[in-house]
Formats: sequence, C-alpha cells, structure tokens
Amino acid sequence: MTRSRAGRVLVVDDQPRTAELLGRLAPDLSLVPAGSPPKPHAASWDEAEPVLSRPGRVDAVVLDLAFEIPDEALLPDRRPLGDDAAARRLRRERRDRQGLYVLERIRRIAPDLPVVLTTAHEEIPFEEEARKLRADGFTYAVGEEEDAGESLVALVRRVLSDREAPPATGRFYWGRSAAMRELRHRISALAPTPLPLLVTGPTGTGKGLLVREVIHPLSGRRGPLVVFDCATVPETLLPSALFGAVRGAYTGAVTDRPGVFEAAAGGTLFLDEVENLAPDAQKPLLTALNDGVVRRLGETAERPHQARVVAAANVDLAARSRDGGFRADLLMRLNPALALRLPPLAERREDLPGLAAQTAARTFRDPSTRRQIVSRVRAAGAPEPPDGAPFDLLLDEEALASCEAPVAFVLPRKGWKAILAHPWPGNVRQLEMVLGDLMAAAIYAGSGPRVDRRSRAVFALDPGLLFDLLAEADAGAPRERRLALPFPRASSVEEFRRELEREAMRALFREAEGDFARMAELMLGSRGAERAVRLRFNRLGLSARAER
Amino acid sequence: MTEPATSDEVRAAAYRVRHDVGKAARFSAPKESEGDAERLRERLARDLLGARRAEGKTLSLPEVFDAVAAAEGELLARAGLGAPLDAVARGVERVRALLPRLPALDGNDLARLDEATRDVARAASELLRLARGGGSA
Ligand SMILES: Nc1ncnc2c1ncn2[C@@H]1O[C@H](COP(=O)(O)OP(=O)(O)O)[C@@H](O)[C@H]1O
Ligand SMILES: [Mg+2]
Repeated sequence: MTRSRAGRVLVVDDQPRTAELLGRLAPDLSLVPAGSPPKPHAASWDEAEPVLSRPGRVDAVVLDLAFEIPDEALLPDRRPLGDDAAARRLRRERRDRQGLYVLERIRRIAPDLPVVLTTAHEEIPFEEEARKLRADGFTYAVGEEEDAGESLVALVRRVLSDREAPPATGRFYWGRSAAMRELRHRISALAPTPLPLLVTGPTGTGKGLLVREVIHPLSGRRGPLVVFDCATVPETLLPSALFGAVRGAYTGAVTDRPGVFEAAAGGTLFLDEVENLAPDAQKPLLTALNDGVVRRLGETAERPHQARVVAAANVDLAARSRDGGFRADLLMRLNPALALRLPPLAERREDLPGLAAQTAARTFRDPSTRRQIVSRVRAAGAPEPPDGAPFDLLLDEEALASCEAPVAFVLPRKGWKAILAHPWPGNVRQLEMVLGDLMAAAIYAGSGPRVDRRSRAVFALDPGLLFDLLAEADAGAPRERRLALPFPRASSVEEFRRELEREAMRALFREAEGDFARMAELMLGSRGAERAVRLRFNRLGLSARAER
Repeated sequence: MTEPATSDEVRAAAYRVRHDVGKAARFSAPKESEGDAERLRERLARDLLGARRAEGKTLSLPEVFDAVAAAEGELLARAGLGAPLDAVARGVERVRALLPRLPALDGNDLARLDEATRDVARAASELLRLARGGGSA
C-alpha cells in the first residue's frame, strides 16, 4: 500500500497509555495532537472538540469509557458538584460513563466518523447506553484479556482501511453507518464459507439484493444462484419445487424434474421469505441441511446435493419458532447466531444522501430516461449535454453553486428535510420509489428545466409532490374493504407483482369512476395524494383515456 | 444508613475493578509473551508501576487496587461479590510482593510476576461477569 498517510487518529483518554501503546505498536499511524500544550491524546471533551470541529483533520477516534477528570471538565455540563454523598455519587457516575457522553458529542459534529471504543461492548456496565451505542456508535469488542493492545491496533487499522473500501459491491450500496460497516466485515468473513446463512430485516432493507450482489458473488462458488420465493409457491407444490419429482409422482408430473436444491448445485440456493415455508416442507428442508441429501417426490433413493443455503426472513424467526410456526431445529441449522441483520432505513439515516445519489445515478444511467432528459434540455434551449456527461441530484439549492454537471435536478431544502425526518416503513425500496417517482415527474411531466447563467439545465423537483408521495408511503394500515381482481398472468414473480398492481389500479380506477382524487381517498384515506396516484397509474403503463 | 446498591451501581463498581485493575495489569501485553527478559521487564514496569497516570499523578497497580477496593469493596461485598473480589486481591498481593524488586528480578520471577498479572486480569473479568449476571444486587 502506498498511501501518503496511513491514517490520523485522535485518542480521547484521560491517560496517556493508549496513545503510547499505539505509538509503539503502530508507529506508521499519526496521532493527532490535542490540548495545550499539545500532547498525543485528548484528556477530555474540551480538548477533543477543537480538533474534531475542524472537518477532515481526523480519520478515526479511539475513545476510552472511564475518565478520572475534574468536575469542570466533565460532560454533560462541567458543573462543580460539591462533596456530599449525592455529589460524590453523581461524580462517580459521570466519570464512569464519560466516554458515552463524549461519543454522543462526537456524533453531533461527525455522525459517521469511525469511533473505536477501547472497551468491549460486553463490558459496558450500563445496558441502556450500550444498546444505543450499538445502534449508532462504532463499538468493537476489545479486551480479550491476553492481547488488548494488539487487538486494538488491529481494530484501528480495520476502521482506517474502511476508508478505502468502495462504497458499493455490485449494485449493493453499503453506506457509512456503523451497522452497515460492521455487517460488511461479517459478510466478507462469512460469505466464502459453506455455512447456511440467515439474512434478516424488515421488508425493503435489501435482503434480496444483498444475497444477489454480495453473498453469492463473494461465495466463490461457480454454480448458479437459484432464488426460491417461499411466499409465492402454493403449499401443495412446495415439496416438489424444492426437491424435485419423478414422472408420475403426482397428477401432472409428466417428466422427471429436479427441484431447486439440485438446480443450485455448486451454487447458492436463496430461500426468500423462508418464514412462509409450510410445516410440511420444513422437515425435508431440515434433512437436506443436516444430511446434505434430497429425495425427489416419488423416488426412494436420496441424492446428495451441493447447494449452499441462504435464507431471508422479514419476521423474527425466533419468536415464530417459540409459538410453533417455525421449527426450532430448522432455525438452529440456519445459524441464527450468525444472522446478518439489515437495519431499517430509519436506523441509518446518515446513509440517506448516499442512497439518494445511488438511486439518481441509476435513473440517469437508464438509456430511455437519459434520452428523455436530453430532449427536454434541448427544448429548453440549453446546450446539449455531451454523451456520458454526469447528471446530478442536488439535495438543496445551495449545492448548485459548486455543481459541475451540465444537468442538475434540485430538491428544495425543505424537501430533503422531510426525507430525513420520514420514518420509511418500506425502507430502501420505498426511498427508491419515492425518489424515482419524483424524478420521473420532473422528467416526463412538469414544465421542463430552466437554463441558468452558467448554461446549465436545472430541473426543479416538486416538494408538493414529494409530500404527497411521503404521505402515500405512510399509509400502510390494512383496510377492510376488498378488491376483486382478475387473476394476473405472469412468467416471473416480478412480473406477477407488477401485473397485480396494474390490475389493482384498474379496479380502483373503475371503483372511483375515473376520479384520481377519489382513488387516492380509497387507497390512502385522503384525497391529497391525487397527483402521486395519477403518476403511479401512468408509470404502470395505464392510460386514463383507454380505461374510461 | 447505607442505601441498597442498584444493579447498575454494582456493575459499575465491578467494571471499575476490571478497567482500572484487570485491564491495566496487562494493558500492553502482547499476544505471545515476550521471549526476552528485558522486554518483559520493561513492559511490566510500564504497566504495573504506571497503572494509572492522570491528573499529574502516577500510581502503581497495587496502589490503584487499594484505591478501588477502598471505594467499592464494601458495595461489592454487600452484593455477594466479596469472594471474586478477593480473588483479584490475591493476584494483586503477588504483584505487590515482587514489584519492589522488579529491576533485579530474574527470568523466573519475571515470569511469575507476568503470571500474576494474568490472574489479576482473569479474576477481574470473572468479577465483572458475575456482576453482570445480576441477581445478587
Ligand atoms: N443497500 C442497497 N443498495 C442499493 N439498493 C438497495 C439497497 N437496499 C435495498 N435497495 C433497493 O431496494 C429494493 C428492495 O430491496 P430487496 O433486496 O428486495 O429488499 P428485501 O428483500 O429486504 O425486501 C432493491 O431492489 C434495491 O433497488
Ligand atoms: Mg426480499
């Protein structure tokens, strides 16, 4: 590695020993001096703050938990505490958890700066805070009693090397939240093993994408990735779909047919939404995992299989297994202790800008969208952007000043604020849909771009539409009313889903007698989202005139 | 007069023993013990003679232990953790016996001192583990 600098580390510790240890064991790291006169560590928040509030001075922080420092330096309020029993108790408590107070301050000015706590997570005596730290700090277990120093150095190096890791693996964007960085490390260790894995997390957090773009490619397996959606295969067909069937095993089995286990030989079998697997299919799945064999329906001989199984679940399988919906022994075979948990988007809001940029980039790469953008730019009288010129999505108007792209989409600041504050129950999938719809509205409808003084084409994104889309995204509550739909025809699950949505929209359109505001009301309980509904309707390829 | 300690307080006290004593005892110990007696002596001097250096004071490991035990011993004992704390104390006493002669210790004694730090660290971890197990408070 030929980096000009190995990494700048700020040690925040009341004692000099951690800085000395790093200096001895990792002389290539530079320790950022703090305090006056400067020394290789900051002994309190007051000494750390001036260093951290100048952006870009520090690549990582190493932070201790307990600080024996005077009241005047103690967060949260640096108040002299006095000397009665209550004061002593309070002082003790503040000193004991000073590192957590410091971490909280660090997060306010540097939400994604890597922070290594020199305390093992398990050691933190305050359960409540420890849990919070896991959510947004960057805590590692340090303190294997035999080699605290060396593992600390290894952790610091790992954190620093994260800076160089590409932000995405394939189409899967990692972002910089602590939870995702941690997940990334665990996956790079687990993906190449033959262990069955469980991926958990609410819908839309990227479980499927993770398996496709990361786990299977990193597995090093030459065989195919076979995706099996446990939610959509009818219960009666599950066993034969999973394990195959021989001719005549059941009505309609006219030829010998392998199941997905055999199809995934040498590759990965992805069992999506595994919580939907009927009890009848759970037992043979357990056998397949335990003994490495499958038996086609109607056959007595077992065949060895060479598929590596990765399962995804939207729900808490442990709870399911407690109330009998999922076999406990099957869950155990999926290595629940190693489960890869994708956090809800609301738990990693620091990744919203990155995900937004990722979504925009994908929209801009799409050739037909690009053509449409270029034709609107031309119509507005702006110079035609050269082939391959970058387009930008800007998250507030001020970013325009420093934007180099010839075409920019600008979201007003209040719009971005609403995105930051939104709960995102549908997670990344929903973010993509909202941004996609918002951009589509500017590209296909709207008044076209304006041309600014620097001859750039600027598309304004409509905050009103954004609010509608967010309101729509919020309305998740099931309604009692029923919708009768013709059975969709499709050749893939994706297509089935799209057809289903088209049919649903058609039915709603008829029910609302072609009135989009009424449709919005039926769908979401409010007429406000009329435009969003109309847009979605059009994006599904439906035309109001044809339907009327 | 003494109020009963909350489980958070018990854990915090045990954590202090672990952090200030157990961890300090082997703060810069390498994964594989130093083969070389002088390097071992140097490390033991660093970790044990300067077990706490803050606010302009330097305390040895036995001195840090005495301070922590004076402050937390009673609370831990009341929480039923007297015995595991004693295990830490026994390790510290072995350190206390050898430490004054550190510059002159031979290879065997250095190894015994190193072993004592290991026992201190282990006993302190065990104390914290028991305190986290709860129930006793
Ligand atoms: N980390 C990510 N990077 C890029 N896109 C993502 C990411 N996570 C989710 N998405 C987007 O959200 C959509 C839904 O993801 P998916 O894997 O189907 O979620 P899940 O299986 O958890 O319901 C994906 O098609 C993808 O476009
Ligand atoms: Mg999925």
